[in-house]
Amino acid sequence: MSDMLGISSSAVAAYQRALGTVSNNIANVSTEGYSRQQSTLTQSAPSKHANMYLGTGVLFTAVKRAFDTFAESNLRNSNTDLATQEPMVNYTQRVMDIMGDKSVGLSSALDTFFDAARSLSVDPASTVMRTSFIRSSEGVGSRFAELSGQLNLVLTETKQALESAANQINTLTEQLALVNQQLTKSPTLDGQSSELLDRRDLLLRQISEFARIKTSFTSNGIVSVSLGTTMKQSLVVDGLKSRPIGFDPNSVSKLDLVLDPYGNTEPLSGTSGGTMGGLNTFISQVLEPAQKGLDFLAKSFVDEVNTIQRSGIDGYGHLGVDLLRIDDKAPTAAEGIRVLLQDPLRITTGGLFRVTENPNNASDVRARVDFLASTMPPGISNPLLSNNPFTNNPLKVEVGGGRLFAPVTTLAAGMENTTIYLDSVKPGQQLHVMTRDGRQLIGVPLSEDEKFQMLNTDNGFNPALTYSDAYLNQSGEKGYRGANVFYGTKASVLYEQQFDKLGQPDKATPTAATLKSGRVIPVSSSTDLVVIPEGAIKLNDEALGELKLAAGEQLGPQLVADWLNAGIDAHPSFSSDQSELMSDLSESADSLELKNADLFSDLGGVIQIGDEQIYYSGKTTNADGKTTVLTGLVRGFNDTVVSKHLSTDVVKANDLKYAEVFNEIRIPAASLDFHKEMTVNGVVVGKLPTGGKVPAQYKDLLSFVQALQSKSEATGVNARLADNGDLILENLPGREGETIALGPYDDAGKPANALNLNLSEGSNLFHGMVRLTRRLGDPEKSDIRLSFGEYGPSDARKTGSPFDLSLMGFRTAAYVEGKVPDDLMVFVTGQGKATIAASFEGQPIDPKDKLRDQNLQIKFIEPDRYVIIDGATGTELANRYYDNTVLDPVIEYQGLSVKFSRAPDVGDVFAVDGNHDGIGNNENMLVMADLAQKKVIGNKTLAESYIDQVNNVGNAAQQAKITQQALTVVNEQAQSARDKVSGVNLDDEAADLIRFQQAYQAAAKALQISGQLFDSIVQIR
Amino acid sequence: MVMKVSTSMFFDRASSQLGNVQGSLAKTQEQLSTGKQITKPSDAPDKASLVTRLESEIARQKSYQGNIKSIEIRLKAEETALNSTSDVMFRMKELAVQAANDTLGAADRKTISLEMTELRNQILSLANSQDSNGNYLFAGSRVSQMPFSPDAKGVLVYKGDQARMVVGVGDNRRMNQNIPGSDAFTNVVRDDGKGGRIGIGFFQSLGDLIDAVKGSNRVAIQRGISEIDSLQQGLSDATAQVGTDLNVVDSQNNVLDEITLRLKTTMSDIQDLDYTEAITKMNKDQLALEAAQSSFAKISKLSLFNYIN
Repeated sequence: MSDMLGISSSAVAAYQRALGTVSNNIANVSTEGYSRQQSTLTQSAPSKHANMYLGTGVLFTAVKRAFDTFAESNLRNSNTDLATQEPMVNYTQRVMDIMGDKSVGLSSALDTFFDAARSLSVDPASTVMRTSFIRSSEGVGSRFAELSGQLNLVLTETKQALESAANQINTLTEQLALVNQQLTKSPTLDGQSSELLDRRDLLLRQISEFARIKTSFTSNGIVSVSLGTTMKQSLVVDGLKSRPIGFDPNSVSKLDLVLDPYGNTEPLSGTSGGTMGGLNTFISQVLEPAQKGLDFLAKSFVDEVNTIQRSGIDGYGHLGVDLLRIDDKAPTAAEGIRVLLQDPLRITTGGLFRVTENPNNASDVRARVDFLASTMPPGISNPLLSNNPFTNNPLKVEVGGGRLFAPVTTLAAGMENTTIYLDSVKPGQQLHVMTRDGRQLIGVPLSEDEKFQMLNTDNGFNPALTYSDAYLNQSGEKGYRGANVFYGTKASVLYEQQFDKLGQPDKATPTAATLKSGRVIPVSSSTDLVVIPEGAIKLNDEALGELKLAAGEQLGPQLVADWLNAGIDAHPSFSSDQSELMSDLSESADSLELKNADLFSDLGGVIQIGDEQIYYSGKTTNADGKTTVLTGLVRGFNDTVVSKHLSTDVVKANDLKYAEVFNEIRIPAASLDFHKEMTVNGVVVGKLPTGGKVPAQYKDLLSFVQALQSKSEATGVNARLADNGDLILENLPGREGETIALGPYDDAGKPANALNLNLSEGSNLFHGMVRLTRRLGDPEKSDIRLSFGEYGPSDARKTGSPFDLSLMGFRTAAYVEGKVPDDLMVFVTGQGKATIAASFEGQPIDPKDKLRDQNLQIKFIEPDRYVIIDGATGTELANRYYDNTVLDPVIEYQGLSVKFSRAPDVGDVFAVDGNHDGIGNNENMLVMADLAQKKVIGNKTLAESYIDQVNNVGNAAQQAKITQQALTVVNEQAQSARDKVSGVNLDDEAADLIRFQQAYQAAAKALQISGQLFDSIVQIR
Repeated sequence: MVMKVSTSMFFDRASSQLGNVQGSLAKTQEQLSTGKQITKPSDAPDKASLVTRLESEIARQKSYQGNIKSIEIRLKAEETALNSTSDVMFRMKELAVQAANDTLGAADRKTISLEMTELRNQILSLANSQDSNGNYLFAGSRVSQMPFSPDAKGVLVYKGDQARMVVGVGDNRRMNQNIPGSDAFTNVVRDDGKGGRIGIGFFQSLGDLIDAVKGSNRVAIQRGISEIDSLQQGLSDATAQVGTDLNVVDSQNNVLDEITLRLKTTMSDIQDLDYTEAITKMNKDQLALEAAQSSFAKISKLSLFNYIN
């Protein structure tokens, strides 16, 4: 029905509501998150009258929320971006202010430290300066600690900020889930109350300040929120539920965020932006690099200072020790710098070396010494040389192609008990051991051609040297710096470690030296042949005679033993008139009383009386305490011998027992194979039965040994087991030294015998060997040595060679006993191929330590020649040409360099020693002071490197500030864009108020008029 | 279309803008009160690191000057000792020449020798001079060892060493820190009677001369007189070296002053405040603040509601 009353009353009602909406807007002008509401008025459906429609009034259909989805999400993103920069700006500036501050920063502490070093360099003897240097190094340490502590404080704070951000997110997501639950009440978005939606959007906006979020809305406005990059992961609000986030309790850094840390934990991936993202970026891009940089700087500082401190001498004249240490237990290296020295005199101000001009020098030449830091050489320079004298893979050397020598290796000073074996030696080949200054220690004198080729810098020798064989094969006082060297074959006294009943190591007992040859390979000749010329080989420094092979005779162990024994007979180690040696001859059948008993060893030996040899095994003192008797006389002794000779003949004693021949084959039990046959000297020990897999004669180790033993009469070879379980095959008594042939063998080269030896014709023959034993006197002096001697006419002297020894199965080596005195170089001369094996102990010593222990005298013996003499031993270490024509002549020796103010006079002596008492020397402190300008990290000094780090932080701070400024503008725009749609402007509302008020008043007027109209109708009577 | 500004945003903006201008004013005020352009390192990170670097350099120059001061003291002590020695040596020579005079009798010479012994002891105490820390000036690096003292045979020998040390007194400048006693109290060379030559110590040479005077050994007196000349030469060389070093001290001090001044000027350019500029800026900010305040007060009063009644 369309009537004025209806129309006006609908309008009054509608405008009342519209005014209410405006009032609500005005009321909420300052409410955060409030979206302006708009009234929607529509005309009500017209009523039809005949063919026309009449309006029926107005309807208040809805209150619309002024809202722009795009503007809202834009604002959220902008919020996130802006919030990201805030921790970067705030915290980075703080780090910058910490590191760049004059009183906390490192620069001033380093300045103080180097200032102290400089002051100390002016007055090195001053204990005050030394103390202030220590204090200043403590100052640097505590400054590092202070800085690191401050940075740690910032880290703790950022961690707390992160935690608080996570908690706030959790509160917000919880609330959002509640809002979502309320939103379920309406199936459509339009049906939702503005207030709920405003709350929802406000919550989203608040969350977006902490982290970048992704959202998805259902048709009725329920929102799901993800902190990740997609909506499939890291959901903190999933419809009606929220999930908390927190630190992973299992993570090491305690900085990794996870979903549901105390429930169904899931990793939180892809979070970025916002306060949380900003904090994380700050930690990873600014704070951690700064901390790492500081730690690295601390380590570098400690390393550099210690290196310098160690390369000088302290106030006591000792080599320096570390000044600083980084405490492992400290949380960071920068916080762990500890000063180790408190005694100011332990600071090293002095240089390591000093040169002193001899007071009696005729010239006033001034000398200056420097030490060019030397590196530690490897103990054995040739890596192919393994420490195994019996290696299967020896070093191969070859001399040939016009070259007269082949280098083998260098032995660094400080190595101990080095032995270099020369095997597979060819005739004429020799080993040589030389110092870098051409002093030959071991070998035979070099020929002129060899010297010319060998002694140059390419082979590691020093320039301008002079060759010397003054110390060749000399030991002790005559030796090079007192070294004990030997060239030849040697057997030493071995020590057997004993253990007492408690299992504790007891005194080691020496066992007599035994020199065993290798297998003597039979050689025969159709004519008379001199195998070894007279004098070519020496036994314990006594020349041996000629070893001759008669026509048709074969060289075998017995021949070698006989030759050695002839030598023993010819050279007893002492001889004396019998009256001095013996008295009061005992009549007892098995003992001999001695007057001069000290000459006889406790452990047996040989006495020669006339041409009779008497062996004895020990000596005891008689009950009277005065006389000593030899006991255990084993051979050649009887009353008649003694009485026949004692009165007339010279009594001699040789502490070498006669050489014996023997043969022995050792097989490790593990390598035996009892499935195979065995023959010894052609006699079958075990044979495979037809179709059998194991010979019937044996099946295991014990029965195998028994089988060998049962045939020993026929084979002449006995078998036994050694202490360590090895199987030993040896000749029966009476057949010592005979060759043992083992079999069977397979020509295809496969082991076919129970010993599992790979034999073939020839190699199945095991020849006899020779064994020499020496009585055990003084264990240090009871070794057996075969060395080389000179022979031939006086105008063409020749020297015995390793090849001569190898013919008899002896192995030649160059021995340096004890410590290697200086770097030694090993060469082989003589054409052909050979192999080298080695054994060595010890470690190379630091060249500077070695030099400091020496007192070197540089003496000018000619205007252009000087010698370097070892003060302790008098050894002439070098004899060199001095070129005084060049501008700045320098004497260099093992890293020392000595310069003179002008060329010294003949007779001038300059002593170089390790500075042991120069407390006033400042050389090393100068180096310390120079560390201030030394480029130690990349191409930067310590201070520069620190300033660089400050700069890096500063740049990050600057960057963040600029970004923040830019983003603030963007954020303001986003804010305006949102406010343009949803914000409340009071002037607008005032206009609306007037507008709706007027409409309301007009509608009311219409209502009044309609009343009046009605009254007019009613008054018609 | 004109941007619609919501009421709350208008107030927010206004307050934040006022805050900005106030912050800027506070900053300028801080600069004015400290006189520094950079009050915190974070104000200007690039300049802050430059300032740190310059501060380090200035500290280094200062420490070089400290070194120079110590060296100067030492050199002056050495100079004094050497000059005094030289004076005594002149008297020594005078006496020796007098003793060489044939007209003198043995008793006269003995008297002369007594004075010479005294003089020698005086020189000895000069050669064994110590600095304020009790370190011997002429002992090389063996500063705690009396440099000239009798050896086992009672002969006065040099017991110091020949450490000739230098000290850094500039980034690329080093100068002598000491002069070893053997460089000042030099040896003389004599025939060893076997055709060779041998060095004789300073005090031994003087001792021989005194003995010669005492024993009226004319040949030895003559030799002694010529040796004194050579000893004097050594002393003058050493004095010359010390003198040169003292000159270096002066010139290097000037160099360091100049370097320091230059560094300080550079640093002042970077970190010190330009007051004119700062005050201008402050006035500008002040004006801006006042304008913002008054305009805010005026604009915020404007509301349509004022006109609804």
